[in-house]
Amino acid sequence: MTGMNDREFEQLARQLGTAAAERLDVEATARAVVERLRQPVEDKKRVTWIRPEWLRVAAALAVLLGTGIALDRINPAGGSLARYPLEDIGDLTPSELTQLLTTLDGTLEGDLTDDSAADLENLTPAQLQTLLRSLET
Amino acid sequence: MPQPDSLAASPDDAALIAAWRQGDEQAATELVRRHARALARFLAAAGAVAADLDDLVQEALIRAFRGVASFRGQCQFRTWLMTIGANVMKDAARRAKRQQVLPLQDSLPARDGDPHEDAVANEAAQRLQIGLAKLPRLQREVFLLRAQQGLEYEEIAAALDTTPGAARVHYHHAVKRLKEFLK
Repeated sequence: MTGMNDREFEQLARQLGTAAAERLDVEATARAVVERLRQPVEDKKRVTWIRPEWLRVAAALAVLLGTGIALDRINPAGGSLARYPLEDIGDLTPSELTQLLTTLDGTLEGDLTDDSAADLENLTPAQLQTLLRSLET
Repeated sequence: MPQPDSLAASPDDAALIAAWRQGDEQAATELVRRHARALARFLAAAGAVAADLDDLVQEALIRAFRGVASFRGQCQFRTWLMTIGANVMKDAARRAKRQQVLPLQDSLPARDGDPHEDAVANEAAQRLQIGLAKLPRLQREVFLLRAQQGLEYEEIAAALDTTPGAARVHYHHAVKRLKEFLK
């Protein structure tokens, strides 16, 4: 095999599959193909792929829901905190949802975890409104 | 330099395709006569199991005729047919893998059990075919379209939706790897 030159190599490549192809009954193939073309197209079950952006939306919704439940546990009296951002969530685009999640992360990591904001019951209505607005943006 | 196969003139194919689109079965029959053997050769070289070759050829032709509306004439009908054949083969391999019905031995390109042909089969050709099976799909297809079918890089690129430069690179990588495999 060693020493095969380019010409021999190309010759070899050109001959690949020739023997198998010679065995093909072309007329029988033509008849079979035409016969099958006459038959109605099978109604194959279509696989519906879930678009990646909808997967992201579903994941964002799950995270928001989980966050809402967590906030409910932190502050059972402030149930509106968990429900408020979910009201119009169906209208948000994936990028808006991502932005909202980022804001929520920042709020949880910053405001809610430090001592001064740990107790939401102590917030005044005005402070609560400010907090909710910050979740919206 | 590979020599082109004797391809039917494009206008004739185009006329037959147009006739088939009007429902002319004779046109479909003629297209099968012209291209079925070349398609079979391509599929066999690409690693089709001999026992499956008829079915693969038929399936590729059926898909081509049913999807002919998507053929925009970007390449020759035969070249387009071969890309469909490669997809059919890929689907068949995936199904076979999922069903796990083919023993490993049968998954190699078969020589159909003819003792005489087995005896005279060229060892280099067999090794080349095994080497081809190890190539990435795109390299294998580019190699076969170029070396076996004798197509120009522009034609190959149009069929495989790539650039002539990329096709050239794939071809040279394939040749290099196959030659190493044959050493």
